Amino acid sequence: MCSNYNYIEFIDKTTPNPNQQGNKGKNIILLHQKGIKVPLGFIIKIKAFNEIINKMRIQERVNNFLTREINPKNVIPFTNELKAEFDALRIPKTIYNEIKEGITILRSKFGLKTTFAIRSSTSIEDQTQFSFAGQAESFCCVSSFENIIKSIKKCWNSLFSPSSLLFLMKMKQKGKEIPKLEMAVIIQKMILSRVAGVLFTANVLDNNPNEVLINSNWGLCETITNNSVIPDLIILDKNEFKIHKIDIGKKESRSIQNFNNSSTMLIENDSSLRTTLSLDNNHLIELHELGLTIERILKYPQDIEWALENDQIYVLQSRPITSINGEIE
Amino acid sequence: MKVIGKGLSCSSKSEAIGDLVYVTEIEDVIQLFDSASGKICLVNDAGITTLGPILSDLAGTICTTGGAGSHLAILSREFGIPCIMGTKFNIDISSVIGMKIKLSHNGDNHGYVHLLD
Repeated sequence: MCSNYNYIEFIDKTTPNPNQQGNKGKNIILLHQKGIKVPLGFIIKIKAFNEIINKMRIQERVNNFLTREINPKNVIPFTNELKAEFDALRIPKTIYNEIKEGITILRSKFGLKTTFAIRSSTSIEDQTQFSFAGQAESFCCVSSFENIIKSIKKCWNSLFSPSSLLFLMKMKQKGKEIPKLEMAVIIQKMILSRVAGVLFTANVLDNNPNEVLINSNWGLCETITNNSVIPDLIILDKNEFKIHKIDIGKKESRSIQNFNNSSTMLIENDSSLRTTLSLDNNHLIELHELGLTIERILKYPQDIEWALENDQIYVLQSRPITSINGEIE
Repeated sequence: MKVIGKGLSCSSKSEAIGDLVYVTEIEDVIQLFDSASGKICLVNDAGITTLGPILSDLAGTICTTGGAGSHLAILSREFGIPCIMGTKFNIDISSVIGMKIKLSHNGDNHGYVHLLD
């Protein structure tokens, strides 16, 4: 298939390539190819990031900073300087136009009211042994093109956040090699989920490979990953569908799309939602099956973010469980 | 030794002893950058990814909310340190910051925070 684009690739029209899509992007494309439901959209390739970063000489400046600095306090002025540059960045026309066309295509496919999820996908994050989890940002329910562009710039910038730089400084302090900082950005149709959560194809609480662990809450997935609620906890037998444990979490609040469709907002769950398990038996059976299928495809125990919209489960991302040794064949 | 908090033990490693520190923002991480070794860190719902840079030095983490799927739990497991999520305290926890505490679990994923005298 021949593509007219240099900097973007549509999830349903390309093949997995971590060097341009990052690990998260590569997994989404691979899962789509294998018939797993993922939100559709496109990826802004690492190539676009590299061209922009090279122009700003960022890699070189970061390396110089890490070579010369031992005082962690100096991370703040340095990252502030980079942030100001990203805020003011004018994305080169060739890249900008492709992003614009990509969004136009998604809007014509999914409707003008569609909002988007914008996530970073790095080549260092999500690798087995080193997840760098949450060091880079994601944005949900973004609608206007202006805000899409802002979110993309924030994603790129998040690789050079204070936390990120301190992380690298610590790695250097410990004599570890600094990884090459590269990022793709994934733009997908936002799944406005009624229920969402994570699914681990091993019980990560006690490293039990014969169990599956699910966390879930009402609304969008972000309340689970960013620790803002105590979610429901379900532990299943891995080999056959059997419930080992259900702990209904407090789930004080949930995240939803805000009223002017421009971002997310946190609202309180009423008491009936708090005390009800957010998943029924059929969804548990489906998630159990989905987990095993994805693990077979990716050949390693997986940490899967999922979202349930109109009774359809979508996989938002899947990455190896980094705290487990478990090559699967 | 008195139990001062209880939550979900989210890491296969579940025992640690260390001084309790409290992190709310990146400045706290900078403050602890060279002195985090062996400490047990408490965080609330915010500032979780903030903790990343010093996690490899910490002896354990405690969060007042969250579960096994939270980023903090994922990272704590990756660094092989105990992590108790969704912790409820029976004392004013701010009164014991800097004191020596112990993390343990009961074999059924219940994690406990003890105050050592």
